Order: sequence, then structure tokens, then C-alpha cells
Amino acid sequence: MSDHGSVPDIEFRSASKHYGGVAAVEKFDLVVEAGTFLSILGPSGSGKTTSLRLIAGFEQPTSGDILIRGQSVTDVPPYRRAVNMVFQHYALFPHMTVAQNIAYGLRNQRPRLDNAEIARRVGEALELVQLPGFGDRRIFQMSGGQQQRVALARALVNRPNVLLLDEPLAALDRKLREDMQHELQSLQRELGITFVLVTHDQEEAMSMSDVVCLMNKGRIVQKGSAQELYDRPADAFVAGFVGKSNLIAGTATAADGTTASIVMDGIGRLSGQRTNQAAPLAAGQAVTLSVRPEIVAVVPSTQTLGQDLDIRLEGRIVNRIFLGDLTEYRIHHPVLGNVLARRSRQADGSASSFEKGDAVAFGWRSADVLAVS
Amino acid sequence: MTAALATSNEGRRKSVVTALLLAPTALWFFVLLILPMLVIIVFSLGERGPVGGYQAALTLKQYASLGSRLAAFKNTIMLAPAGTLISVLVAYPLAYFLAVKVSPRWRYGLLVLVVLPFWTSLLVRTYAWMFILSGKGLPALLAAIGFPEIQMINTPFAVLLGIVYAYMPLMVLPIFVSLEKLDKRLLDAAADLGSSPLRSFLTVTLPLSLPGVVTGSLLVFILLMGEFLIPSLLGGGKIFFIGNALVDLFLQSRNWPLGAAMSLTLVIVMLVLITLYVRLTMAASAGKSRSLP
Repeated sequence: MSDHGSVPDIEFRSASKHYGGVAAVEKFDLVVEAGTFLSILGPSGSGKTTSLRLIAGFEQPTSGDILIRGQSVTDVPPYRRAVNMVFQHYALFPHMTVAQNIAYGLRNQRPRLDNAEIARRVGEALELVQLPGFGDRRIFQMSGGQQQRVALARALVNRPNVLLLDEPLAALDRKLREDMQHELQSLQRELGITFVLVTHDQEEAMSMSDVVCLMNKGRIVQKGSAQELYDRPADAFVAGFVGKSNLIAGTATAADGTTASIVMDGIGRLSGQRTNQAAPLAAGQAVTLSVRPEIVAVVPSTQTLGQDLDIRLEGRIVNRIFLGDLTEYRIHHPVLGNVLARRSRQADGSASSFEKGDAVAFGWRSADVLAVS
Repeated sequence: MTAALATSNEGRRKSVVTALLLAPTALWFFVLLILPMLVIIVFSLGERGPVGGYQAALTLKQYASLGSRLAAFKNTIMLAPAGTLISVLVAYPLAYFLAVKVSPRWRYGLLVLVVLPFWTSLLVRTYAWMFILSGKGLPALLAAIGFPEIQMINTPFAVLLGIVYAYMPLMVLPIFVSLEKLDKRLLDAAADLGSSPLRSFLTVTLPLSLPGVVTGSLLVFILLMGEFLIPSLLGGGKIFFIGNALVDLFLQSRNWPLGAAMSLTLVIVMLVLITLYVRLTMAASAGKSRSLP
């Protein structure tokens, strides 16, 4: 994808940002290859916005270095960096029209662009975000979704090497957000420039990006494709944050390179597959088993579970959430507490869906369980 | 039928309540604004009595003789806008410093310091300036270190200094408010789009704080047009405003009709100038004017 040889668009070299002794970003190492759609995902306070502001130049790293296209930008002020940002809440200029907002960056370019050129590029940008003819509108006359597009056009019109997006879809309603996810993704493919998106919404990160970088407490926890994070979480935090999961913590009674087991009173042995083979695990160490809701099978207590399930338990339905194609059940088990299970509509069948209070048998295959540390 | 009666009763009760709520304000305006205004209009068309005061007549000759007091108009119309302009130029950097540069911990304490002079009488403070600017004050000090002796008191300079000093807090506060509520993320956005700090200030901060400047200017300008204390103390009868002329006409020479004609003219001049100013600033921040319903 890259047409600039092997120079990555952005590189963090052990960059840290401290605020009065508190680390917002700690020893950040990250390489973003040109043309990548990267999401920085994390809970609030994980340092994801700070990392974006470090790229834009609004914050200076306390230590370490940041490179844009191979050049250190630590001493380059924001207005001289070839990156543009779509701000959370958009930060559009309220005293200017849509066209004036979009033209703002072009008017700062030296050598100066003539007015005809600016008008042409503003028109192009409005076409790109599907707002042709909206140039003379005022910002407060635009809906939230339209303002979002104006913010996007205002950044893209400058033809930046890298587009930074800070929670760009957070203020939109669900339907609009999903439309914009598709649009952003196809826009990125079309323009071929690097997008770095910050979000706390794992669905957003997973649906749009080539690479997801999961942060927690100022550090990168795991970096990889959405599927890698889901299927091979590096630790219990990743397993819990990316997708839903039943996490069962315990002490490993037996462990080797590929599996780990714990023993729980009243249940016996539970085990799962190791995901991070680089970090060896020995008996006696803490381990967490991640049981995804979709691997938990549920049947009425009068029926028997499928033969292939090696973990077989009994419980009572405490809650049911209808999700359309799926139904999510919360099953109470005396030792494990509440266990989340998901059944597709097909498996459920209209006759055999469960009600609150129903006694059920449930279980899973140990081969589908992940053991993370 | 009963329902209709009930609603009409309801409606009547509501209008009675509204009338009662408005009555004090209406009475206040009528007795203290409209009535005196009518009296002034009537007086301005009359003649001076033989021993001063008012004698009934219907003539425009008071307006015709306003020319004899041209100096007061000239001073007011020159010095009030000049004082307002200097106040803006001095107050804006101060308000900017307080609202943007100072840490929030100190901000409000420092703001109190700006307003602190209001805790002492303006009369006392203006007397203080009188001593500072008079022959034995600042000019003497400057002469002692080798400067030629300069006349300070009783000059336009003294009056300007006095009015800017007295009214600056009124200018600082509205500008401070408009700068403080300015969304700082807009400045990040401007920088991100390639604006140097100076350009960001000129294209974002300044236009968005203009409403504060307009409010402050109107406050100060209106008060300055009616000012009489500072010119009378620091202008020493040489630099006098319309306010001083009015004091003289009503209290000393007891020419009430001419005084009435002069105050009405002042009101009209003020209305014209303010309308022009508001129009101009609206046009300058084109966005704002079109956003008004």
C-alpha cells in the first residue's frame, strides 16, 4: 500500500507524557505504516487522546521522540505539521460559514493559493463528504451528522499525510454512526492516506480499522488486527475489553505451553488454551479463563447437553436481553456467579426460548476456552 | 358554557396578574423617565424667565442658540469616543491576560483587584489624580529629573487619563467574559489547520470576543457622554463636557430652556452614534449579524 518505500508515516520511539508526575502515556512504541487505518482503542483515561495530541503537536513528549515520515517533530509546532485532525465535538468555527471553515487551512498555505483554486478545492471537499451546495450555510444550521462531515472536509481539504480522528463518531446516533463507519472506511481506501482514529468503542475500532492498538493505563496492551485481538487476547484486560467474555480467575494447577487449568470447588477442573505462548506459565501462577458467550450452550434442564461439551453445569436464568438475531442470557451459577450466554435465533427456536427463573443446563468445550494471564 | 366561562375567567385572571407584575416597572418608567422627558421637551420649546427658570412659550430659538455652547459638544464628541477607544486598547490585553494566560487558581483573585477601585468613591480617586497631575505632582517630578516643565492638569490629556482610569473596569469585565467562554479547542483546530498563534488570534479569538468589546464600549461610551465630574476636576473649566454645560445652565445661569434643548440634543446625538457603532460592528462580524433572527 505504501508508495513511500519503507518510511512509516508515524513512529513513536519510547515516547512518554507525564503531567506533574502522573504518566498519561508511558514508553509508547508504535509504528504506523503509510496507508494504514489504525485505531487506538482504550477505556477513558487510558492515554489514547494524549497519544493523538502528541502526533498533532498540542502536547510535547516528556521523553522519547515522535517521527512523522521519518522526521523528528518534537520541536515542530502544530501549525507546521503535515497532519490534520477531526476533533471530538468537531471544533468548527461558529463565526464562519461551512465554506469558510473548510477554506481556513487552505488560506494558511504558503505560497498563497488564489481564490479560484480555494473555491475549487472547497467544492471538491464538499462533494467528497456528500454535502455539495452547503458552502454558504452557517455551522449552527447544520445537524450533528452534517457538522461531522464539515469537520472531515475541513481536515481532508489540506491533503494531509495523516488524518487524526478523535472520537469522531461519539456524538452521533447509532444509525448515523454506522453509516459514517462505512463512509470513513471507504474514504480511507479511496484516498490511501493514513488514518489514526481514537475511540473507546470497541465495535467502532474493530469494524473500521486494519490495525487496532489497545491501550490501558498509558501503555499499549496489544496491537494487531481486530480478529487477532478477539481470538488471541494477550491478557485478561484484552479478553474483557474486546468483545464480551466470562472471565474466571484462579490459580493454575497445571500449565504447559498450550493449556492451563484451574480447580474450582464444586465444579472441578476448568481449562483453556494458552493465547500468549511467548509468556510461559507455571503451576501456582494466576491465570484467567475467558469463556466467550457464544461458546456457551444452553438447554432446558430436562434435556441433555450435546456430547461434545466437556464442561456441564446447571443454573437458573436471571435475565434475558433480546438482540434481534441473538438472545443474550444471564445464567446464575452458585460458584461462578452470573454467566453470560448467547444463542442465535435459529438455535433458540421460538418454542424453546427461556424465561427468567427457568432452570437450565449449560456448558462449553474446554478447547474453545482461552487461558490468559 | 360553564367551561367557556371558566376559560375566559382564567384568561382574565392571567392578564390581571400580568398587569400587576408589570405595574411597578411601568410606573417607574412613567414617573422617572417618560414624564421628565416630556417636561424637558416642553421646557426646551420655552423661554428663560426674567429671573431665570422657565417661561411658557413655543419657540425653537433655544435650539438655534445651541451654537454658543459648541465647545462642550466638540469636547464630548471628541473625548468620549477617544476615551472609549483607549479603554478598549488598554482593557483588551488585560482581559486577555486574565482570561487566557493566568492559571484559573489566580484568575478570580486578580479580577477582584480590577474591580477593587470601585470600593472607594470616584470623587476621592479623581481628587487624587488632581494632585498627581497638578504643578507640584508629576510635572514637578519630571522637571526634577531634567524634563522641561509640562502642563498636565486642565488639558485634554488629563481628562482622557481620568476617564480611562475610572471606566476601564467596565470595559475589562465584558471582554473578560467573552474571552473566558471562548472554546480553547477552536484554537487547537486553527493551529492544526496551519495558523500561527498571531493568525489564530486575529481570525478566531478576536472575532469571537467582539461581542464583549461591543458591550464594554457601549457601557463606557454612554457613561462618558454624560460625564461631568472628571472634566470638571481634571479639566478645570477649560476642558468641559456637555454634562458640565448642563450643570452650569440649570444651576448657575438658570437658563432651563437652553439646558433642556441641550440635553435633548445630547440624547439624539448619542442615539445616532450608538446606532452607527452597532451597525458597523455587526457588519464587521458578518456572521453575527446574519445569525440574528
